[in-house]
Amino acid sequence: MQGFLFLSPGLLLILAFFIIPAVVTAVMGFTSLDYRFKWDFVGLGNYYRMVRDYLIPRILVNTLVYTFGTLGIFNVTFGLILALLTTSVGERAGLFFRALWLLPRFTPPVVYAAIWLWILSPTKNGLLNGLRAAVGLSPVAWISQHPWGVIIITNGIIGASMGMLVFASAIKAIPRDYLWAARVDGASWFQEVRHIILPLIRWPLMFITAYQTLSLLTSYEYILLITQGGPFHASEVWSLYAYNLAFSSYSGTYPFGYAAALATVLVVIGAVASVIYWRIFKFREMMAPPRIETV
Amino acid sequence: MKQWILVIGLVTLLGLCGFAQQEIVIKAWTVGPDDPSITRKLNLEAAVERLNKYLAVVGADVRVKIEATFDTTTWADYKRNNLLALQTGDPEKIADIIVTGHEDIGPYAEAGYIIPLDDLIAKYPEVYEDFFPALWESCTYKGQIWGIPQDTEARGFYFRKDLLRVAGYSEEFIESIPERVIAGEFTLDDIVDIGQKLVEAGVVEEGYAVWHRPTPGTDWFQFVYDFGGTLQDPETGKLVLDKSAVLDTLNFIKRLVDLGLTPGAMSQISWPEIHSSFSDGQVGIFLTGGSWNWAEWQRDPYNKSEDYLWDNVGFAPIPAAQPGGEPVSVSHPVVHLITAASRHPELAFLVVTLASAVDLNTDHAIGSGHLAIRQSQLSYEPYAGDRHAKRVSELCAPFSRFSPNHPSAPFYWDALFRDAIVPVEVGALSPQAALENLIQRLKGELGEELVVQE
Repeated sequence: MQGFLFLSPGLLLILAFFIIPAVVTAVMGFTSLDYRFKWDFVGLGNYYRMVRDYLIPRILVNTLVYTFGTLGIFNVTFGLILALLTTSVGERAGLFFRALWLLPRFTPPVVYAAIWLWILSPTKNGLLNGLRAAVGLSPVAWISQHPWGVIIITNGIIGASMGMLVFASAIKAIPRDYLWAARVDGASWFQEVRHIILPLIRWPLMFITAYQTLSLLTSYEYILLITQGGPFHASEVWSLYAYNLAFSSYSGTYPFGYAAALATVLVVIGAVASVIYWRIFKFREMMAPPRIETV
Repeated sequence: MKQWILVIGLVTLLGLCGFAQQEIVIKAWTVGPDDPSITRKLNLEAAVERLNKYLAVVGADVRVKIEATFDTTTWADYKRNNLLALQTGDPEKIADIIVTGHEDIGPYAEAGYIIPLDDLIAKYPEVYEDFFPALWESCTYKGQIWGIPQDTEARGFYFRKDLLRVAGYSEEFIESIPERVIAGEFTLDDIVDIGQKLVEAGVVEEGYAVWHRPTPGTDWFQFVYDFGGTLQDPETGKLVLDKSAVLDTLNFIKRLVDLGLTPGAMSQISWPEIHSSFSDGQVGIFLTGGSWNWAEWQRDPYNKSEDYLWDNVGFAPIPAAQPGGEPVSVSHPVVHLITAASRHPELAFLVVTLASAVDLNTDHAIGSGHLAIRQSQLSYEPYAGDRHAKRVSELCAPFSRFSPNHPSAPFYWDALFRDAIVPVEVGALSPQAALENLIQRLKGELGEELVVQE
């Protein structure tokens, strides 16, 4: 009972900001709610529409590529590389480089997007094309030709900093004598990483993987600002598609019901992914009390 | 004692007199989002000031107070906020007057958020018979008038006179382009020819000859109209996809890209870059311009003087697709709507009527780069003396068209751009495949509300 009392503020927050909105969204997904705001129930009509929606396969593929591309390349791998490097170069330099990598996260999204739009402009006035022009190369339409690359890189540069911080803290929490002992035994830096650091930061690695998967599945703000999902839906992910349908300026009839059905699918995917991660990564063990008392 | 009774009596009388002057609050939502359009709000306030003056003169015991907001965020935010308030049906939360784009008339009328105004308009013929007849078309939905035009603008294309001179065109030809367009002698093919000549002569770089807006908009309907297409069935009100006109539009876009006049990645160039490139003279033709651009290029960060623009930039409606055809200019009138939730619809309407006064509306038109809504404005000195407004009105007014008043019209113009024009431009789909793609997308959203015409 006391336990519940202690948990109640957190539980109330989850109830108010996740459970209730999720239930309302799910219910809305069974209606034809639009600009008229009439809750007319249409059964599985919106889901039937989803099955027939020819854009869905493209959007599903985009979502998978974006989520796992950003996660694999940046949020975990690059975050880990940054953490390893910045913890190997001495305290002050490490701190400086970590602070540097946090800058994009501190930048207001609209400003960050504006900078990227300038970098990626398809004309000679863009930064990348300006550099190409300096060496006699013709301009490239970066967003048209590499829509996936653009959304992965622009999101990943921000996303990597979260993994970097968590991994760097975990690495610094490793007792130094393990590393000293390894060095005395002649271990190289790579061997230290492979045999000491990685096994000891297993939990943060798995946590970031799971957490960032769920976070990427529902994030779209930088894509909205940089590519708007285009060209021709080439960078439109599931959550952005739902957003565009429900709220974009030119959606006309505001098909809230259909957009809610799309969002519901995302909630279900997120819930299933959580369970899978919980099982595969054995998070129960991470949450369990330690078998021996640790210092 | 008697004195006390007298004092109490006087105080009570004074109090009653105070209460007897009733104050009615009229709420209004207005929008820029551009700052100069603040006159949309100020004119309603000025109208109420005039109304109160009249009321005071005739000794009426009622006064009107206006509570108007002015939104400078984005159209999308403004419309979303309006919609969320409108659906409550609560007069406390809903304005009496809404200023918005005419395309909202269809959905708002369907949802019962606004009232038809035919009977109210008939009460003030001295004002409303002076409005340009074509503007009423944009306020009509299912045979009734639901809005009062607040302003309008004209769309067309801009061309760089200076670049045309360098490419070898004579001054006489350059200056006669607008008249040639109106006469049907200058067609879309001539735009292509000029673009090619600009590139061949090395006046502009490849891909810098003909640029257009990077976003969806009513502008794109101009080309469907231009190629002889219709967008709405006048009988049923259903939206029409005219296959041959849309295909011609897509083929025209493909031609611009294939000839190296327009970059394939046009949709990824930002607005500021487009405006600076055109106003600085790096781009020959801006195909989807509007009368308001003229005011924009004179402000920060483009800072061109009006004299510079008259010397170097020309404007004309979208030329006909075929010789002898009519040019096209789609307008997007902003309108005043009276909500169904209003407790004082007649009074709100009177405020709108007073705000539509020639002097007030002209202040708005000149200050924000918009065009007149009333015929008498053309002979009203401040408007008639504005060279740009007068010229654009002369060129475009006879050819004004509107996007259909249908709840899904914005979806249509959005899909026309994103699902047909962009894939053709970036080379992802052929014009024919893009047409099929567009039909599929529109059918998915519109269902029975779409008529596909061969």
